[in-house]
Amino acid sequence: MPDGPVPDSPVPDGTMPDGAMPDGAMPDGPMPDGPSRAPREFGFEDPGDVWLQHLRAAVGAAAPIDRLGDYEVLGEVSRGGQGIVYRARDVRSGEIVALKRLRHGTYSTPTEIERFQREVTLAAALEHPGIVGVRGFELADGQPTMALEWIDGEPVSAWARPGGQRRPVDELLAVAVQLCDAVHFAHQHGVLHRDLKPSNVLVDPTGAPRVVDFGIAKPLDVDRTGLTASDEFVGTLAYAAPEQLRGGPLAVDVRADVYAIGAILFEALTGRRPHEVAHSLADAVDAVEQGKIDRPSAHGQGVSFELDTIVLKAMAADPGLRYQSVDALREDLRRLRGGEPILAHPPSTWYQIRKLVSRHRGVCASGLMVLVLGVALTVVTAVQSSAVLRAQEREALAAELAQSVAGYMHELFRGISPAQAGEAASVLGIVERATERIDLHFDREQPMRADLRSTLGHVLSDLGQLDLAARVLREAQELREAQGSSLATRLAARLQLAAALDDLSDYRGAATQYRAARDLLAAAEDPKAHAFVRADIDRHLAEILLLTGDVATADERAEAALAVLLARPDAPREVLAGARRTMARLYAHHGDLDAAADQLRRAVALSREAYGDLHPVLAEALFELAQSARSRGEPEEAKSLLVEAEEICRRLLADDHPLRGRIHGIWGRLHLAAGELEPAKERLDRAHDILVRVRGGRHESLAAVLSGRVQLAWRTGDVDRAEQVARESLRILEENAPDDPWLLPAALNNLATVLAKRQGETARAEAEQHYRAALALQERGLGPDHPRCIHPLNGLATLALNAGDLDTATSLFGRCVALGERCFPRGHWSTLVALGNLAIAHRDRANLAAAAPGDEAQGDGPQGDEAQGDEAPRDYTTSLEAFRRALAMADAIELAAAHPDRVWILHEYSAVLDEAGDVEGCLAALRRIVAAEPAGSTADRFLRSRYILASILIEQGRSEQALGHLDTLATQLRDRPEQGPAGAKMLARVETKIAALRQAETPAAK
Amino acid sequence: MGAQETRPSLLRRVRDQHDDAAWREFDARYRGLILRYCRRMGARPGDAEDVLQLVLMRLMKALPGFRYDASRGRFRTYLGQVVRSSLVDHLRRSSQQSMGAAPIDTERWRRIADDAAQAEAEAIWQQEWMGEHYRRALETVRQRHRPLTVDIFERVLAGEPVDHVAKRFGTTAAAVHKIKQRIRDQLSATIGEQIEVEDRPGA
Repeated sequence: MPDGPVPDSPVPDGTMPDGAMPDGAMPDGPMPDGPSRAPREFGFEDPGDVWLQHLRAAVGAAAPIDRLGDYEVLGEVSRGGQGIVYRARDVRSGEIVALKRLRHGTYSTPTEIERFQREVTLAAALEHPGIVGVRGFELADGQPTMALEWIDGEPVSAWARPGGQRRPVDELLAVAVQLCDAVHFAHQHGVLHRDLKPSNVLVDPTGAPRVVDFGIAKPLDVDRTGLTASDEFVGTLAYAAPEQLRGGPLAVDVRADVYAIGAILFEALTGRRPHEVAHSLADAVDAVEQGKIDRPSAHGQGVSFELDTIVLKAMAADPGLRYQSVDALREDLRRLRGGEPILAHPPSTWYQIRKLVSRHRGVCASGLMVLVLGVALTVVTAVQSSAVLRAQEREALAAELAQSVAGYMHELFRGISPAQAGEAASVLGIVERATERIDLHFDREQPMRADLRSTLGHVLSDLGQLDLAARVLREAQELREAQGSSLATRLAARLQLAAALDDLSDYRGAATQYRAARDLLAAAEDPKAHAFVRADIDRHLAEILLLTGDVATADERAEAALAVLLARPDAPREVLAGARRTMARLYAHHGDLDAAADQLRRAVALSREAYGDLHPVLAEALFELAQSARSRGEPEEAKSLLVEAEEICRRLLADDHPLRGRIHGIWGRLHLAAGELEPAKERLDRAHDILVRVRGGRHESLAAVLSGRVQLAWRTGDVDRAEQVARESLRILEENAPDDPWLLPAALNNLATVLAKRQGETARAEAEQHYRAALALQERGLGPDHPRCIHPLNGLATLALNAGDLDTATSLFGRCVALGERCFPRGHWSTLVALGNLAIAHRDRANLAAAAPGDEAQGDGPQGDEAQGDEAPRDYTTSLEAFRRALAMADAIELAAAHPDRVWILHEYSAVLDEAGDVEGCLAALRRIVAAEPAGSTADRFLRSRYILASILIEQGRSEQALGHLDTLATQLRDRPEQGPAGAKMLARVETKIAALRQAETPAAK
Repeated sequence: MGAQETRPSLLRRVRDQHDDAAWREFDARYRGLILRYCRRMGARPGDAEDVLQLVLMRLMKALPGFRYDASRGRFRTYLGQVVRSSLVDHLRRSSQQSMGAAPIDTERWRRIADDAAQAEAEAIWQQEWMGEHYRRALETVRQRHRPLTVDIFERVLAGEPVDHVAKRFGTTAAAVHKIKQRIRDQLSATIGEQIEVEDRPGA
């Protein structure tokens, strides 16, 4: 991921308003000054007449209400946990309404009232014959009050058995289908009911059900403490899905309403609640959570096996096993009424297989297992739901498939390594056979062939077989289109294909698919209903736009997507996590690394909630956060995140999965930054291997790996190899991302850096050209204050330094340092290097000033004479200061003692100290270098420093110490595997010095 | 018959032992609150009286001379805890006497039920405690005002719209509003003072 300014406007964030609210707690004890006041909870500070309500309740003076706002109260209809319902007349229109005053305290804070108003507004917009219309909403005497259309109806449970005699099943089913229509309509408009129960479903005299109270039900866990009448609570419980009891509002989606409809149907059919609990709340909670429900036919006459199956499927404890939408439930009810075979089937083979997979996920190291099971699942599901086959055939075929899958699994679990190539071939063989078989069996069943390909494509892409996946997915998408499948199916096919193309770096292809998916949504009857899908598409498009350089549109799309999701409390966490990751990329792109990190942390938390601790998506989120930590200069944080990500990958993904390649890449670069070249090489090679092999060497993530390899080659002194790698990465990126302000400059910088090492004017000129091109691209794309600009600036400055243009060099290094300090307040390696270079530039300037005073003196007379002498004072103050800042930064960022950059800075520092006459300081610096030398090292930089150290010690008359260093040097030089001429020369000199010292020593000893 | 007689005598004995003005005041102040609370929690009238005695006995043991130590937190919270536990103990004792041991729930059931019940009981205590303060403050404020003002406010309190009240008393809506505001402010101040006294250590 590119790391990278911040739109200043805060992102709308669901957590902010709550956090910013003063918490309602009252101060402890009396106020120190002024008259006493009642604590807040007494309501004297609240808007409206809250206090008056409290007082009224306290004195027991139930107010005789005859008028509420614009409504004339005609009488009280009911009084319950939620509030009081009156029959009233709207004085403006004369219309009779049901006036519902919510129980006091249901919504007490302004935020709650606001949210309530928002929901009511949404619900009021629902115009459907099966939904009781909202006529108005107001705060009357500070209490939320709603006017609803007046319905002459009775609760569906009472309606179902007039005079204690149950109506015919088909009549009940007709009402259930209409109920589904109404609820599904609301779902399409993004409104959940959350509290469907018989008292909220009124059947009018024409036999049509009307649903009340859409959007006003609060999450159950809040109600639990609020309800005083536990009978009523138990009553609500009977229709609450298990996940409603377990989790907060986020745990609830359309499937909770599916469950409630199932429960209502159960009661209508049997005359009893699904969980008949006499007294105990605990009993009721437990019963719901366990999800043990009798077959309706056990309690009601004339309930068929199919109807049992439908009700039990609607009420499955695991939401994943229920109908996934109210529409699907309606469809089965409709089929049942029309005598068609229903789609639901008892949870049998496929469910058991899925359970098995989830239990053994850790074992399926290679992912091959997932492939087999995925395909088997599709086949079994397809077979079982086939309307064409007779039930007997279905069962037989499903059983056969399940058996072969089980057999294969047992074999695998017996200890055969699934990662072996032969095994892979046999798996692919199985897949192929399965494909053929299905095509044969379902010659006329196009949807199943498409289903199979979708699953296959999905699993293949999980396995990193991206080309194959994209091919299969395109087939699936084309089949879907040709079949004129439902909107959702066609959409899914497009999105799946888009994701695969995105993975393949076919950005244009992916963007085309995403746009096509967007068009599908726009053409849908009810585009509003697909807000989440659209947000998800938009954020994917934003990522592609970012990669292809249209940052402004990317920002717009991503922000809009996030805003939509944040505005909706029922937004799925996985979608929100994705949107946050996209925002993080954009923040990083704009240079606000902290904002990016914040988004990524939230994304990790959301992914954890949505997927659990063991899921590839979590691994990917962790990986991105690790990248961000690395960019922020937090290698330790990065490493610990990578360890977790890698562990997940190890257990779930194939060894050559692209994500693993990317993780190797970042590990390599972390090792590189720490000067750990061996592990860096190993990791970078593995990353390169995976990314080139699997991704065809044309993915953005490869750029980082290529840079790493260039740096590595450079560090190990192989300049030819470094140049070759650098030219290759430049070529790859020029082809794929010619305008990208991230990738291309990185490659330009790498190549320029290598060329700058080369001798000759041609190389130098080419280097300068590349640096300037990189800087121009970055300044244009990212702004001149972006941390990425440091690199080319540093390069240009170094070129100037080497060319002797000291003014330009000091000025450019100065810019680097200032920019680095601004961008990385806690210190950064690049600032360290810039400081070292700045110190050298200052040193050279001081030398120049001392050596050629005439030049400067020409204009200013008197100085010239003074500096004529041999020992002109050289002012190294600025240089030494820069060196010290550099070394302090090396400590601050915990750069390894033997890190080449620390060593050269110390070396140059010692030389300047020597020049400045600070011999002790010089010796101390050299000793630091020597002390850092790793055992067995023969690197030049250490040898050179040791030689200089020994020479100065001799000058200082510290022969004994000098001798010790010279002996070590001699040994090291002799042990060097490759002794160049320079080495031989040095060895000769060392030996001469040793001999001279020994000679001087001998007579003295005698 | 015998049980009926023990109640007043027990209380009398307790009172005789600690004939202290503070206790009498306590009884006057909290009797209503405790009884109301017990009734709302489903206790029968006789049971509520028993619980009140139990609470008094426990407080006397825990707070000699009714000197409440503020480090225990707010008095109302402490009192609520004592009342709730006394109620539970009393009901448990009487149910064991009448029906034998209660059926054993599994641990989890109990936790769920207890959490819900506890939160509910606390909420009701808080409500009743607030109600007590409202009533006392209203009494104080009533005595401070002229009868006409009090009458006007009573109408407002009864839920009559402000303009109706103004018409009925031949005054302006603004004047009625002013009365409402003044009484609101005084109630707030009075309740604040009441709570201050309540929370003062050793009160």
